Amino acid sequence: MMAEKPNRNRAFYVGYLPLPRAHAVFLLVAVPLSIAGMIVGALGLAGDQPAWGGGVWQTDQVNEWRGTLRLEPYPMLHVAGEDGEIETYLLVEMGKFGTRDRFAGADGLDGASVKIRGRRLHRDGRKMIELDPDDPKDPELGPAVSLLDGATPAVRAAMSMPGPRVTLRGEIVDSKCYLGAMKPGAGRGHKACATLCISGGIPPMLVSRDADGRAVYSLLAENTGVGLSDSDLAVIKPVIGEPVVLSGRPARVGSWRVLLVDRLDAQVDGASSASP
Amino acid sequence: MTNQFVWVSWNRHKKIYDAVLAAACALYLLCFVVGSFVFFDDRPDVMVMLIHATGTLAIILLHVILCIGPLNRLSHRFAPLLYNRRHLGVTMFLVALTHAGLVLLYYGGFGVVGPIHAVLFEGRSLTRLDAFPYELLGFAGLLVLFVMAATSHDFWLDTLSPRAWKGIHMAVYPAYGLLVAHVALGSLFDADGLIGRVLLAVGVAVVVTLHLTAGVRELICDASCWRPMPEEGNEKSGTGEWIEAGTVDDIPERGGRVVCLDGRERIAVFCYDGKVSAISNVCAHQNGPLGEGRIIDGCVTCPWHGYQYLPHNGQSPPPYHEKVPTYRVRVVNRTILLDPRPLPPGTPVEPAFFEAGPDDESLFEESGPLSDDSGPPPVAPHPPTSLSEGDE
Ligand code: HEM
Ligand code: HEM
Ligand code: FES
Repeated sequence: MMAEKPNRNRAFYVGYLPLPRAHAVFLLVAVPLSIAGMIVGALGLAGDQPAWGGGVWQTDQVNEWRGTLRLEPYPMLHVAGEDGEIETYLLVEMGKFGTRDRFAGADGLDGASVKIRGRRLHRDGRKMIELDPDDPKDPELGPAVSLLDGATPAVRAAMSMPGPRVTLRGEIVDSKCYLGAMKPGAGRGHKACATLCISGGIPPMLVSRDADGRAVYSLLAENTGVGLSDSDLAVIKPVIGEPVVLSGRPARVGSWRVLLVDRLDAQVDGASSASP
Repeated sequence: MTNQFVWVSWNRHKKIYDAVLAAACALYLLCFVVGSFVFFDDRPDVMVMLIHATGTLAIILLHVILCIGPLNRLSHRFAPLLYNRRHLGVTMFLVALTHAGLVLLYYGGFGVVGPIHAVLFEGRSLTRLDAFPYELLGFAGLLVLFVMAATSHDFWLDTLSPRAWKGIHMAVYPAYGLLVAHVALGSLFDADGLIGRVLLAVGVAVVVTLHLTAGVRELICDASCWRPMPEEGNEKSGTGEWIEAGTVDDIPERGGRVVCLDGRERIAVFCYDGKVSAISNVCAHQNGPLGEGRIIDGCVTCPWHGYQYLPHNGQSPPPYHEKVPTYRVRVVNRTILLDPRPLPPGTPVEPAFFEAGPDDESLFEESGPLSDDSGPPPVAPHPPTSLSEGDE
């Protein structure tokens, strides 16, 4: 008999008709719950991001420095600090470019006294200047850099004698992003960017840890004290942003530490074939 | 089903749906930004933070999209979420596009080579996991999502045929695989935190489980309504080629039931006003299950997006022109008999009448061939464009 007919009153939703009560009740519970889930998820995933790393890029402030230019291993400026210590700033261009090309043409620049305008980057005591592209152009040296007259006292900082050979485990980063142009400026997510920066002449830097777990920053250089050659850059390019082991002899130039690397092709080939 | 081209045939539900969706996305991004500032001692990098925020939001939305289908198979309560799923899809694509755009601009821009080259290829190796180009996986996934978003409009559904369109949209599964790999081999590969890994693992488990559960239920359901094809010369109950499809008492008034045929399409059988009609179970819009629909205003109404068909001829009422195949029916002693050979889409078929029980008597009063007792004539019952929204 008809009493056996299945219930025909099950709520039926049609998008252009009024919402049935059962669906409305369900949505009133489900939608707020989903939104609460989104909020918890957003907070959880935000907290799960890698630490930002404390780099600083003073984009809103153009400063002026006077000091002595040094071209190797990478263009840098030695400035006399307040307490008599030498502060050394790496010099980079806007974007993902180093300054080597800018200084390549002119003679006698190494050791010259210069005035430089730009924006400061720093992290954990390592310093860098991004040259201000909007500064009036010096005919010889481009914007933001001008030669001072010979009377200006030079800030001399020769490269120290290299110490005994060390083997360091760490990651090759591009110094500009790492110091604050992009935070945290290291790791898997940043590998493509770091490779692009180093290809454009940003000084490559090895970040390793000492016995106490403190970060050690070493600019990579040839064992003659000059910046990495193009062929050596090509060797390290595939392992930028990855865990690597490099050996060489540590030296100092101004306030920067430099690693005068042993033959890179032998080292990096070994490193990459050893990894999975 | 639109009789003219419109970008969006808005109605109240779609507007509320989109408003809630937009609010939820905005709230997610806001909470992510606030969390990035509050949970860390150092100032975040705004661009990197936005890359993370949009990437995670996109993959969360993708999981929601993939869960709605099976959830709706398991409970009709989820029907309102399915209704406008296409907007969810396009929104997810736009969020993912923002993520990819920010990566290409920020990580790939300002350098000696172009962004695509820098982000996808430079210094990468397919043989070493440490140098694996996981960005390529994201790029491939995004391309698939683009094709789906670009063809999401019903214009393409009509142009490509629902079959081809469904085929394109099945590509969401390979895209899902690519994007899970993009995250697992990318940010999560050597991440310190656990939350991202746990969430992704749970997300994949939920998507897989829901699909398996819904699939198994579908199989059980098919088995329970399955009818063997009649053998040649089967004269049992004197019906020849006809097959039994339960009794009229199994089917709710103005409701339907699905009958599965061996190796053939499923058939939707409807009871209404003392009449029985059978049409294909497959909606001409996006293959929605018509047998799970209802008769509203004298028309079989699809449970997915509300396309309508007259039960006695499988045609959408004017001005629409969708048609589905029909089947011949008979009722003998309240038992429904079906001729399993489909008639060409839109073929009129005389409904089978059955004698109503005492409770049904009122239904007989006014039942004419094209109307029922409760609604206006089934001619353009709703604004012409109101039927055309779909899931993606
Ligand atoms: C051209 C396409 C894409 C590129 C180049 C790309 C690139 C990237 C990169 C470089 C990261 C690492 C970010 C970092 O760690 O800072 C990343 C992470 C991520 N991507 Fe993509 N992606 C693309 C497409 C997608 C798509 C379509 C989705 C999802 C629908 C997606 C979801 C994610 C997620 C969830 C993460 C992890 C969270 C994060 O670290 O941002 N990506 N993507
Ligand atoms: C967040 C925003 C929006 C999404 C996501 C979205 C998506 C869609 C899509 C795709 C439809 C299709 C329509 C249909 O057949 O029912 C729709 C109605 C439409 N909207 Fe939106 N809409 C949104 C805003 C947009 C955007 C951005 C697009 C497109 C890119 C778009 C496009 C469409 C289309 C295509 C219709 C269609 C038309 C119809 O009824 O015939 N809509 N909304
Ligand atoms: S599938 Fe039937 S209305 Fe969309």
